Amino acid sequence: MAGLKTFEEIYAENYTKLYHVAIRMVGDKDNASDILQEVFVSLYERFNEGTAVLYINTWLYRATLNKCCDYINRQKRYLPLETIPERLAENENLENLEKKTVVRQALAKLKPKERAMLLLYSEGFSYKEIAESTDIRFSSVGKTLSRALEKMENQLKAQQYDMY
Amino acid sequence: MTCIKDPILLHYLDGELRPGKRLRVEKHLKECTDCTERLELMRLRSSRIKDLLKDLSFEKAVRPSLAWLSNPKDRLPDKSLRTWKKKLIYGVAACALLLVCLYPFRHILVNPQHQMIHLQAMILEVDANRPFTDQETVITVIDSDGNVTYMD
Repeated sequence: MAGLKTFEEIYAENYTKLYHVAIRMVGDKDNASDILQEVFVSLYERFNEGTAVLYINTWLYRATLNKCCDYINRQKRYLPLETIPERLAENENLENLEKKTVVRQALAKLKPKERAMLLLYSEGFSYKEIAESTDIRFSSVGKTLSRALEKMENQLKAQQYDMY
Repeated sequence: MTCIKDPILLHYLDGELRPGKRLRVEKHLKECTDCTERLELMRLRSSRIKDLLKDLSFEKAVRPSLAWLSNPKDRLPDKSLRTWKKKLIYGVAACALLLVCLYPFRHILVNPQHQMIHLQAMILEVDANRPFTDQETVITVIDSDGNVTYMD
């Protein structure tokens, strides 16, 4: 099945990238996996129906971010990233772990759309790609991004984190 | 000389400005130390936040197999459906509770003719120099048919 093979390739190529975005958005690996499954089921069904998906990567990011935002809004509260159980990875010191906790808490204080934009920005997305993936007008990207960066800095400062 | 706004500076920093506008920004930056300093701060903030977000590593992604594609039963139920079912259950429970609460008042609700409309007008003539207990009170009741009743 050529369609399925193509789908498998897309799945293999994109799963990890999308997972890293989703888990930063929702802060929980089980929910991130659930969201990705819903996204890929939706894509698979589109393939089966013969619906054209022009820009697969953009579609995948947009679907993932929309579902993450829906999830966060359903929870009626902002992401409790601070509740993620922390584990010390190999070669990771306590200071590094504390730094990550502070960053997660600061990120959790942002609105879902701002969080999504910052994550895509940190992944090196262009403004056009950010606009297409987050359903924000291209002309508004710079303004929203600038505000989100400022908010993030303020949140980090509020937690006594020395950025520079 | 009008200074450049933050979003435009960010566009410039990220190489997202059209060539003509970029030249204008560069020209302004040569003349304005405030904007140059702001640009440097933004550059620092932007790169620092990018680094912090990249470092925010979670556990390694484990890509599940595509077995659920061939077996739809393995798929998760749609969350919107789950929410819809939940709302329906809550709605039915709320209706049942409302009916139980209204049950003691069923005769009022079912037989509205028992309702009484009470319009009251009160005129009090009180002598402030005498105790209330010594003063006479007359209550006049006029029903809907116009019958007048006095009560001392």
